[in-house]
Amino acid sequence: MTINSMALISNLIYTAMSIVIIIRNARLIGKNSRSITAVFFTLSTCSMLLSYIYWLAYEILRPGIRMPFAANEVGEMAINLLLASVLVTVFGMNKISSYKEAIFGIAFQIACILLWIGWSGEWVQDILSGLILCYLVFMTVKALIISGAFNRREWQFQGISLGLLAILQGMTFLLEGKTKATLDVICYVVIFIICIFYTLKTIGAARNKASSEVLLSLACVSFIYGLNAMYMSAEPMYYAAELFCNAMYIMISLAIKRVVMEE
Amino acid sequence: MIYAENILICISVPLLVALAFIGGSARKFTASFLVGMIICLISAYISGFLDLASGMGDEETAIFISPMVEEIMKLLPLLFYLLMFQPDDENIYLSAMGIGAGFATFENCCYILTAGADKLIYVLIRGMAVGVMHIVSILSLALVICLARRFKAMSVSAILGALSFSMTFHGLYNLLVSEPGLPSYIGYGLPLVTAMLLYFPYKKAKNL
Repeated sequence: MTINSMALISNLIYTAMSIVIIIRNARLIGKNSRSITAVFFTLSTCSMLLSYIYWLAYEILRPGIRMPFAANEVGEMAINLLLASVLVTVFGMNKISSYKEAIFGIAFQIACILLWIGWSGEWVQDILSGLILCYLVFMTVKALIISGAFNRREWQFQGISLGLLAILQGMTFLLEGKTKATLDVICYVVIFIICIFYTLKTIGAARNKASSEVLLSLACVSFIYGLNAMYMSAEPMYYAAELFCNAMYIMISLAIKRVVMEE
Repeated sequence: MIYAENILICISVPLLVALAFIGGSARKFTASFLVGMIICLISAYISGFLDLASGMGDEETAIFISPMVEEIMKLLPLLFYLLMFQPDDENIYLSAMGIGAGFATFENCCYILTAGADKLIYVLIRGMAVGVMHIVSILSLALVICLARRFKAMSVSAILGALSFSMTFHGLYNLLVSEPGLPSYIGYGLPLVTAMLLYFPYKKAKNL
């Protein structure tokens, strides 16, 4: 069995992207008292690089054999854990006035975990990586509230669209045939409308010279959504979601640079 | 079949006696070295148990399960030392190096007794690869712990993130060396290259 050439090309591109981000961010280490943020982010990107290299090595050495719970998934967990540490260094452990957004975010994430288990049947890794994502979601929602990145309407849009997406994806398990195929298309439309919303919001914040905290929290929420969109999509839509996710990771690296340089 | 417990006793006794006559950093390093060897043995027990429980087979267990077990086991004594004694950065690095070196030494001893040591070049490669790999993985852990503590950014996610990073690095090494030829050569070179790359952030972090 040969390696999927599309997967191989995208993997090589993202490997190169990780190396560039590592080199750029490593220069920020030692600049000032906020450089710990750059340390955690550089380590997170190193985990991303190792995870990509692991995938590549596995696909070349063991083509066609499904990878068990392996180091590249641990590497993905490392990325998310270290991103959560980045948010801790920037936003601290401050309490927030309202937890309803955080509760909704975690509920959406739990719904995603249940959907992943339904699709793949891999209990252990889905629960483990899902729990870590729940923690990252919690930290990101806190960051969004503290930085005031979303107004009331934007919170409502997210609540409705993400809730709708979870319900629609859940319904695909109950339907069959043409109805299921139609519902799948509707799901992709909803997934990518939300992607466009996050992209516009994050790029807008970068262009309008929003504060580094706003940009960082927006890029993080977009990245997390990108991860969920990836796991909800089959090929070839998976590659579009992966592209979005990695583009948002680049935005996080830009935000980290602003965070360190703004001190 | 080798009796790993007997090898551990044989290597540990002179070190235990030496502990009574040395002090300061040398004592801390030797004690950490002993802990690293004991941790290596316990990791082998756990990996062996998981091998039987999961039915994955020896090679699959070595590639997919052992890296996770070994890295978690190496972190535990370091975390215990950190939380119980609140040591300074220098002592954290010292203990981390001791645990890593002890772990690698005991693993190499057992491996050489099983596979033989008649080819010097192979023994050298084994020493340079596994030895350095265990040092690199625990050094990255110690580095993150020290930096996070210094910048008051110590969190569970930081420690677990660094642990997951070490596991990925270890897993990649085990995957590469499991295949003969070019992949194994890349695998053997990986720890040395990473050690060289880690040297600069390590020096930078010490001066922060």
